[in-house]
Amino acid sequence: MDATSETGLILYRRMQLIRQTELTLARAHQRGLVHGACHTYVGQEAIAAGVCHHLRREDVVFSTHRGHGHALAKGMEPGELIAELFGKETGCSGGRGGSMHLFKPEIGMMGTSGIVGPCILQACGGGYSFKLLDSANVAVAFFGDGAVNNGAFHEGLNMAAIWKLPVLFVCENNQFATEVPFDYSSGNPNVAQRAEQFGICGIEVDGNNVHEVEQAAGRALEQARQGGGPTLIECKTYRTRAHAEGMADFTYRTREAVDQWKKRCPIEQLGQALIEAGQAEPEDLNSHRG
Amino acid sequence: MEEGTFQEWLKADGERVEAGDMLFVLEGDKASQEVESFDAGYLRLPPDVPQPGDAVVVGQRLAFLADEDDLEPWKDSPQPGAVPDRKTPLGQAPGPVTAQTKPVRSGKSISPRALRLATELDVDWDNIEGTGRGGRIREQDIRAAAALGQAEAPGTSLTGKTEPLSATRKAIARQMVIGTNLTAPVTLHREVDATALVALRRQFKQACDDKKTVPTYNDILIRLVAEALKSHPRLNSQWREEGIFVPEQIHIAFAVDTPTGLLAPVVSDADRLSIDQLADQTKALAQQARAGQLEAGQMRDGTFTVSNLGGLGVDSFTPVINPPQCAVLGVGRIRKKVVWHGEQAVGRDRLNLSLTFDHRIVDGAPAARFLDDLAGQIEQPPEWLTH
Amino acid sequence: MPDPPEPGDRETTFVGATLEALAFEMKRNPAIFVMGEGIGQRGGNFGTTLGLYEEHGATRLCDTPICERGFVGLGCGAAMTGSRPVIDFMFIDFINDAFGEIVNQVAKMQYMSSGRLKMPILLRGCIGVGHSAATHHSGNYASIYSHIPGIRVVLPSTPYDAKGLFHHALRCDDPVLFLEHRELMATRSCVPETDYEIPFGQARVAREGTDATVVALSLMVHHTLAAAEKLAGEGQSIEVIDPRTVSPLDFDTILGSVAKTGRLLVVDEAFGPCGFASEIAARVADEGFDELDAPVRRLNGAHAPVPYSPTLEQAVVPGADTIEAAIRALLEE
Repeated sequence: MDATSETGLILYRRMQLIRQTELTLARAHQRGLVHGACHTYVGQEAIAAGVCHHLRREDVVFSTHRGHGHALAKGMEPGELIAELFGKETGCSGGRGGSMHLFKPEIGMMGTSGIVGPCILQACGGGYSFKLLDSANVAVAFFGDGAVNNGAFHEGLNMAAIWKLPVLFVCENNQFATEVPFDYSSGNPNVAQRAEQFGICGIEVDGNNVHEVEQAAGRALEQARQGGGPTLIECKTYRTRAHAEGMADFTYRTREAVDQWKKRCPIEQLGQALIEAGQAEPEDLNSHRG
Repeated sequence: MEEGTFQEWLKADGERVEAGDMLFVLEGDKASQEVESFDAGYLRLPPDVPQPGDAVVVGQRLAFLADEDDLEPWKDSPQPGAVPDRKTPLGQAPGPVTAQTKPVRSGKSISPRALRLATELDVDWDNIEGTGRGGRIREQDIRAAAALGQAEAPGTSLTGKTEPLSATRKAIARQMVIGTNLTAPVTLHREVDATALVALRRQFKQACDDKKTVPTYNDILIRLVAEALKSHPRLNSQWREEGIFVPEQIHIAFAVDTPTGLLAPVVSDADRLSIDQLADQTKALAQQARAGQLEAGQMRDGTFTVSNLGGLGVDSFTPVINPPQCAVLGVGRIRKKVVWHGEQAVGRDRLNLSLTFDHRIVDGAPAARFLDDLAGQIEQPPEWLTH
Repeated sequence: MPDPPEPGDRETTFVGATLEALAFEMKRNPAIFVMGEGIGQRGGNFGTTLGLYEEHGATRLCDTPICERGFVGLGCGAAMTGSRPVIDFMFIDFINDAFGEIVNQVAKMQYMSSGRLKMPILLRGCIGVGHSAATHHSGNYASIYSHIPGIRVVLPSTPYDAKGLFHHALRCDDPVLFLEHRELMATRSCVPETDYEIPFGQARVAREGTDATVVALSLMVHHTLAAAEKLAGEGQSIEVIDPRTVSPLDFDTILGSVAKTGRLLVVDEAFGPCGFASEIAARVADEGFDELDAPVRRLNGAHAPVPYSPTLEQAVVPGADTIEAAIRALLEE
């Protein structure tokens, strides 16, 4: 098996791990086993998988309320995640936090968050530490489109720019801030373009195409490690489950739109490509569905 | 008043009582008073009715005013001593008779620390007058009371019986402790020539027919004190939290020895009375005091006190301030002494005055000037006194 | 931790004392950096970083854009990843733009991470009414931040304490809010040249007495001592306690003093409602009820924005005269 096919399978396996864990949690939520909120990452798996593919254990990730995928992609065991949502002592935060407070600093998972915005600033802080302590590590902030009209985005990108911090800003533009459409709340709905205003590089990619994400992230991370400063990557994507489990989903968007996006499932797209390229057999892929 | 001693019923058990009738007699702080019934009904005395001499507290149920056919109203009444049931509207049904004569606070105010200390030192704080804001009992009040209690020498081997404290005794004790411990008392002593005073008194006696009251030495002194206080209002003042209160009136209290203890009835506006009017008043007040008939109002609002022990052969003594007053004048006996009159030794009538004053209110020199003015008036009695 | 040394006989200012501590710690710990507006080459509006830029350079003495929320959030991330930020707000009023970062992130991070992350961040700034600084530069938010679990709140009243507490702040793993009163900045007292730590949660008995206890903070300690001195001339013995840190609070020392005196006044320049004084009053009423010989009294600044005119300024904060009157009233209770 060549390097490309190996990368493809790794990414496929990672995305499928996220998807199957999320579906397990969704089922558990319905059975009342998840006590609090449960924001699933279903439909967005390519972004976490693609970006984290290039991260080392020492690199740090600051995440959002929709962060199960980031935690799993950074190396958290599904059992620790599920136990946390079940409120168990064996959870990654000892049952203190639940879905929105997933911490595992030992592997650079610096927390999911119940507040939109701070992860951008904290990633800048991680970058500042690495610069101060002269390390080649990078800090990554994952955030949604809901964060980019918040002051933290503007203050954070500006500071990262002026101090050339080793930070990667990953905007997962799933088009809704909870249930408020992004095109409604943005004077300039082009997120990647905003990077220019801060004097840094901005890239827009198809967030449902894991290779596109992975390649853009790889270049940006390398630049950051070399002291070339931060990059903003906007990943256009869509979540295909409700904002949180148990919530109504079709008051602000249509079933048809969701179905359209389901057909663009990042995992199936990658699976199809792998099969078409002869890099994997269908049964190989099925074995990853768990 | 929080507590009193029950003395007697003025109505018999079962007798009809009309609103406004006097119902029973209570010995409160220093005075006995008749307590009025505000409701009508038939007086029913319960089995636990207080006996003469029993202590009763404000709010305590003493007896019942009931309907004519209700012979044992206590059968469906709350426990003795419980707060009267306020759910029964006044006047609708005859309710329990209480010793409450005026609206008072439901309890004395005492600081938590003072309360704890009172428990530790076994001090009964019911009758302590607090010195804190609004009369709150503070730590220092409990300590003062405890110090008083210790003078009784606990753990003695002596045998004897304990006489229960009457309300009058407790009130005297409280006044004396406060006057001694919670003021800044200083006493000035002065011997004055009383020869002219003796002559004046003799003159009054001679001019008097049988119907008229002869002014006593004490009457003359009270009148002269009242006059001197006009020019020395500080000695007539009172210590208050907000400042020194200077009354416009001069009401002289005078000490009377009675079977139940020391009482101090008050001669109101003593500075405006003729000596004859004053003599009539003091005589009447003293008689009432000895008979236990003084009303509380007759002992209220004195602004200065005169205490005379001359009649008992005392030469001089240190009087105790009668709070909230500023000062008290102690008067000793008049006696003949040989004194130097220029180069000559002559026999003169002499008298010792002792003025105790609260140094918080007035300083030594102004107090001495007051005493000096008074001495001058005694040594040369003013003419207006005899008109 | 060794006991703090004797003050000795060398005098320095309040600002000078903290600068000494900061310079010492920056030399021994390369993970420390300072962020704020004008704290680089300029050396800080109040001289808090004077001379450090020349020694340590721009990364460790980092001038910032005016984005308090931004650089506090950054400081939080930095503290999570191995460095020890010192955020210098100049006037503490500016901290409120970063309230969410402090309350939701900085204060909660150690808890959220089950203690696996530490939060060694020092937030410092100038508090207090004076110099006609007016309403946006005269704040004092000690009570607000003490309400939040997870933050240490420090208010020294002397250069000696300021230095020892500053050293301790730069050696502990918790977020510390270090509040320096405008009117104390230039005050002087004897301070040892060596480094030393004063632990948090240890009150200082600034004056011993038996008739009443006064707990005061920061500048108010000095006004209270002046009032106590005056009352001493009249035979009143006032105990003055300077908690030095509001969170953690050395309540034992306060309660012990109240057990001795039976009377308590709390003086705080900040607003009264839901404040430091209210908290102490409540706890004394709770845990020391039987010790009280009088109601607990509070003396606070007016519950109003701070005015500009010096006359008005004086009218809204406690001074030696109003403190004296409050003690007198307490003694009469």
